[in-house]
Amino acid sequence: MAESTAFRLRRAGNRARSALRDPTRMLAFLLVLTLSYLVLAPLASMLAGTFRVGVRDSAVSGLATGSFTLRFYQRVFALPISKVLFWRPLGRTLYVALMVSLAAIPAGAAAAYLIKKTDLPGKRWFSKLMMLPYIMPSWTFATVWITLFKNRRMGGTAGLFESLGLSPPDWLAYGALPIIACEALHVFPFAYTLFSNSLGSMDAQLEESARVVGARRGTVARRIVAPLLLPALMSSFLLIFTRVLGSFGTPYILGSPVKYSLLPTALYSAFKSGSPGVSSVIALAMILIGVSLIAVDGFFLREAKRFVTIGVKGSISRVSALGRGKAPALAFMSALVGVSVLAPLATLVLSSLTRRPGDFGPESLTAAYWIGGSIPAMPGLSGVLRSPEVWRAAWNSLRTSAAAALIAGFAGIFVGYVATRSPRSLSTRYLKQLSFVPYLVPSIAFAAAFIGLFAVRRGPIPSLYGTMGLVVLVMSVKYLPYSARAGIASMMQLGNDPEDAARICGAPWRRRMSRIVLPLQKAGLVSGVVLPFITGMKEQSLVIMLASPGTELLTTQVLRYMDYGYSQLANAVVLEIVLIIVALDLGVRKLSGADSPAALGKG
Amino acid sequence: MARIELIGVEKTYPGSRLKAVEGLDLVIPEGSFVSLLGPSGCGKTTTLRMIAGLESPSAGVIRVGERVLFDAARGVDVPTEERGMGLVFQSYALWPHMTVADNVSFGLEMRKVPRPERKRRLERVFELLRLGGFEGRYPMQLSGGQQQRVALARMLVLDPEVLLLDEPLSNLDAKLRLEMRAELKRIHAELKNTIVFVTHDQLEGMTLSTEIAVMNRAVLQQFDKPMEVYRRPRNLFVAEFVGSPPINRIAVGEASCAEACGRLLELFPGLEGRARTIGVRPESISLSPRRGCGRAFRGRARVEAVLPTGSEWILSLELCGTPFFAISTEEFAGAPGDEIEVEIEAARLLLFDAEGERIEA
Repeated sequence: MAESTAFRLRRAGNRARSALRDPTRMLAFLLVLTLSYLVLAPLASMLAGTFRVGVRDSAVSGLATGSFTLRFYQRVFALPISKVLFWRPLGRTLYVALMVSLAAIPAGAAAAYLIKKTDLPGKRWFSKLMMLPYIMPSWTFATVWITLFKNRRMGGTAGLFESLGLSPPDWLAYGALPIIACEALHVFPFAYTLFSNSLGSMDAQLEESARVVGARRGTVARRIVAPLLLPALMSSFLLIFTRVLGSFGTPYILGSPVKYSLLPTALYSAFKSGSPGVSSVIALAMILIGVSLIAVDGFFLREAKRFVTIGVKGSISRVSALGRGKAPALAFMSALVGVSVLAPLATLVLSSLTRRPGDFGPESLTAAYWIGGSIPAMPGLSGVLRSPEVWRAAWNSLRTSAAAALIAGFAGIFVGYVATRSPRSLSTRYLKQLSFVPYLVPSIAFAAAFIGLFAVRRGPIPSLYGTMGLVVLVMSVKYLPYSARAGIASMMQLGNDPEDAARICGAPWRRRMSRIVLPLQKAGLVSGVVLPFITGMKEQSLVIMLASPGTELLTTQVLRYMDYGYSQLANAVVLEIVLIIVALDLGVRKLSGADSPAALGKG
Repeated sequence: MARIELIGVEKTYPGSRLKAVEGLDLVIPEGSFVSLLGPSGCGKTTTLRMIAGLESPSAGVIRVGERVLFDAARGVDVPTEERGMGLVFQSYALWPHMTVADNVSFGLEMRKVPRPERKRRLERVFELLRLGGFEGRYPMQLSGGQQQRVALARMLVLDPEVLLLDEPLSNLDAKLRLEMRAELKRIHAELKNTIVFVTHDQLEGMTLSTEIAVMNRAVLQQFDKPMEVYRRPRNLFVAEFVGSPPINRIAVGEASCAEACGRLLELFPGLEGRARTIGVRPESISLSPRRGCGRAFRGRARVEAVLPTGSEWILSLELCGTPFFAISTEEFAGAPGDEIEVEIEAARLLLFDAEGERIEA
């Protein structure tokens, strides 16, 4: 029994030495260290910050800077002002999310049914067009809405209806209704995708067996199909809630004029008003809500496993004839695509070409917002294609997204590599969990945590606030879940055999990586890099708090123009972003033959 | 009663120029166990689906007993749910959100069978299929064999006159499959309903059925009792599809087997001109010749390889320069390279003409 201490020490030493010589373990070790710092440290520091009196708070309250306090929690949750700071935005967020679900899920489910289960004409086109609203930045609809419905309350270029002499009331122009409408238009493709996957994987024989034993069509739909779609319904609900919780642009553009704030905008205002303690508490609350939503989703997914249809060979999905329902079905689909794709795009294009909305006369029609050297009503500004600030923003967008995508992509591959080489090790399990954490944290809360950690110099790391470096860092960590998932999947698919074969041929680790593993991961890298890149191009929630003059991105530039009421310029920039994203998306799909990568990411 | 008649049934899927089923005339006798046998894509599943009403034929008439279920000319097409048949799918298609009991009683509910009666019938079918104790489970919690029995119970509980089975055993492992075959035969003997069974496994067709309908490329090739199909295949396709190891096939006139062909055809004076292919079942090659009884081919063969399966010995032989497979149930003591005496009785040879039709000798 008496295993001597010396022996044990020697064994531990041997292990450590062999670990040091094993590059895979070194890599695992480095990843664990770096990712822990980048993922956990910001959250921990934010948490700590909520209990500590800040510099500015100390001036107000008279408490010593750095001393322990619960006043931020009190302020957010338990004072009269909490109503404005937190409770009302929370209530509104839940309300908006609920209404968005009620609008988007039936629409998406109906579209999925028509496309998957009936002989709807032109279904391939419909299904392609329907993914567009999802690929476009989520707040595109908000800028379109403002362009159409803006009333006198806000300055700048008048809205279309206002200039036609029909002044839209406030409730139609700003606040709950437009936010719900715009979010619903953005997320219904989500519900569509979930439902059409469910319908597509449903064995037609399940319905056929029911008919054989005597059930009529209606009974089959009610008793067999509907219950099997329940998991898709639950997932749609939770995903929509998560997205509403994480989206900043839409409530900012449509809610601010009437002070209708949701949690993301409430967090932003708290941050802007210079109270990091308060905004951190709100951020924490949002993280908690986000985590519980994912947990609920996980619970339902596990429950749904029971319902998973048993692996089927030859399950051909059979479509039914619409018959007399063909015309209404076509009308419904056309309306859906019209409202969610064609009308918004047309509005953007036309608005960026006219001085006075709705007026296509020679005096109004102009290309000035695109290529004008100077614009009469907007002093000091030029058309977006000649504007140095837009070019700088575009360049910033491109390079930050590219850098973040590359970092996330390679980190994902390395996580995948470690996960495949030692699938059951502690570090693999830890890395898998850790790389998922950023997914749980709403974007704007994540940015808040990063600012908290990196705003000041910490040890060897200088203050990064106001630099592009911080933007890149936040983005790469926030997109890690996607890349890690892609990396793990593609490394698992590849397996260890190719590398082991190279090893038997005598190749050292570095050559195995550079000549075998990474080249074989090209396809995995494409999805692990392109997806974050596209997501970065339309990112707004994550970067809004980090942007400052000089570090503006295209997306934040849009908000600046919106703030000043320069709809035409804002819309021209939105179009630029949409064009870049769609071109990237099409290009990648051409190259890889894969599904739309942008459709997977966050908007 | 439940005799199934298919008259001139055809099926062309929309958008396809090829017929999935062509000119099918088939009478399935009442109480029989008929296998529709053929390679994948031969039209057997389509035929089954047309009988069930899940697919509408492009032409023809389908009758069960006196009842016309489909008549293209008169525009009759009874919907599936009113045909009162049973159909078990290959995937079992159990409703994953319902318990075993709910799965099985769903059909009774559809037929508005009163509750106490439902309960009685459920108990009976659970006993018949040995499913007692599984009532409250969900399909995911059952093994493949149990799911298969639930799928069967779901149909049998309705006591259908016609039970259609679409490759129901192909997802089971070998041992379970054998057990389920015995089970199916037992159930058929007990309930005496008409069973139509689709399979691509010739062994399954042979062992289970009272009659086999062999199909190929949308066309019915032969409808006969299993042993007839085996011993007197109507054409080369049937001969090759049925039997394992497969029939030895010698192309007449091919240089490599000229000698073997010549000597085999000597046995059939007058047929030399018509026969284009000679078929020899592996078990027809006798390894212990009994010299001097009847017309037979006798010669020496070289042993190329010996493949013992445990109960049988499969030999790869070379006979007059032609490779043959032979099978013996007696232990084969020789070794590769040996020369052995073989004998093939003329009566067990099968001859086929240029169209592949068998020539009656």
